[in-house]
Amino acid sequence: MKQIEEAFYLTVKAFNIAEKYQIPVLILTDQHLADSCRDIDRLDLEKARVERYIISRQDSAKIKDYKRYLLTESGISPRAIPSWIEDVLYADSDEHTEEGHITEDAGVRTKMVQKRLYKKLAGLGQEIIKPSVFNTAGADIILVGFGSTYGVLKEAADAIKDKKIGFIHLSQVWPFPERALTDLLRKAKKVITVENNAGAQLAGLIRRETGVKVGSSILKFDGRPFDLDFVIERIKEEA
Amino acid sequence: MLTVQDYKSNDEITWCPGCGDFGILNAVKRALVKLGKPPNEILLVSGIGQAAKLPHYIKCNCFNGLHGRPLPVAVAAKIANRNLTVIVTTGDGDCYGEGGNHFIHNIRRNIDITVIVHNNQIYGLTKGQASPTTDPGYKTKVQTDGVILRPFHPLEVAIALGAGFVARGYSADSEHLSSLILEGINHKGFSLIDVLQPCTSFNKLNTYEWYAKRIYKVDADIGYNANDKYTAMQKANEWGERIPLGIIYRAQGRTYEEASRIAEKKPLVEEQIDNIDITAILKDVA
Repeated sequence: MKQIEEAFYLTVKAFNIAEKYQIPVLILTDQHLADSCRDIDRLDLEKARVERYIISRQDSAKIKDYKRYLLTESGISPRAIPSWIEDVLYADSDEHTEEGHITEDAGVRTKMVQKRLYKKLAGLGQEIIKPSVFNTAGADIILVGFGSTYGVLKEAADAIKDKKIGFIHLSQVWPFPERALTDLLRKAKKVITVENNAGAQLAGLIRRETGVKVGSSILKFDGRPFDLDFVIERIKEEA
Repeated sequence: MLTVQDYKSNDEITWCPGCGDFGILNAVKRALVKLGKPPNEILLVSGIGQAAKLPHYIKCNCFNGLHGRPLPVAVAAKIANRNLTVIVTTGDGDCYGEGGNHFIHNIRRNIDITVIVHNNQIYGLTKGQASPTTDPGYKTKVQTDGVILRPFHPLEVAIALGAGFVARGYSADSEHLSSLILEGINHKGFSLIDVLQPCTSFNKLNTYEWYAKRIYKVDADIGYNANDKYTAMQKANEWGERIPLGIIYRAQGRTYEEASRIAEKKPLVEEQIDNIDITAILKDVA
């Protein structure tokens, strides 16, 4: 999450995605973002709608034969509330049949993995948040970052005048916005990731998902956020 | 009028022949028939282990989740939908080992759920390692020189923490066990029923014969007072030549539902959440 406003709207979205796809959603945040204070515009509560995907009480009354893990095109099985439906509901953490009983059947196993991994991911792929892209056309260097580094990426790109610096900021790293990034990065003269971790995780992810090898990475892992001078100095060293 | 047939599941049972779990399954079904609630108003929650398979073998709502974690799920389900009768079927490993912390702190919470622990004093699903209740000295494939850790005492721990219903049953006495389970369900608050259960495959010490020589019912004990905490503690500590069965301790304390006052509100599951107005909260941070 790049800023306070986005922290608010993306958290709402995270809950809605979790509810719609019946999956855990991870919100990446950090202390720098959490401890930041700044003025923001009034939040638009119209954009913060709670979406529900539970079978209504009225529709539940008609259900006499329920399968918790019903195989569907979307990979999403309609979710019922126990005691609202006449049938019972079996939920299970091991591999299970459509009814929810434990199984070791290879055919069922394959279908359930396809349901969870392929079918749900196809839907999730339609909901990816587009990266923020700034000044990348013809740039000498494209900086790439995610999370609370947004501010320092933008300031660094603005501050360096003798070279054209663009940047790409990801508000979502998984599912990865591969389509949006591949073209931009393939055309780039030089790509540098700016990351608050020791392993250049974003550079690795970009290489795996787009095939583009990032030129270098500016890393900081002393438990403190980036400051502008540090980033500018490092960009100049890399350039 | 409900019968045992109404709770019959079509799932194939994969316990060993002679397993004590069959007696517990039978006792749970008989208790549910007497309770008289239809299957869709009952929720059985379990973690991992042979005991954790039980909810699949009954026609009721079932949540078979992660090792050691049936209690958090059961508590959440009860808070969300307190019209459900929530029963946990767990084992000595799942509940006293992996889930030990949940066991301790949910007794303190005293929410109205019933916890049935299939205590066979061994890890049966993983083929015979020592569990928290394995008797000292018992040799396993892992504890090759015999168990050196002192055993966990579930009844004493539960009584010390003030659990309001602490009982011990025996899987081979299904009728007595089913009456304990029914009383546990009817008790308002956290109920623990620790069930002695022979494991015919991996526990060669605590066998049917071993138990038959030792068990007796405290109900028959003239003058046994299950309401007295100190008497109960002494009774719970009895293990060896004689092993008591029955309701060891009972006390009615304030439940979580009463203390948190959720009982005065609509169950969470019936609340509409798609139109909650957070304007007032935002004013607070502005």
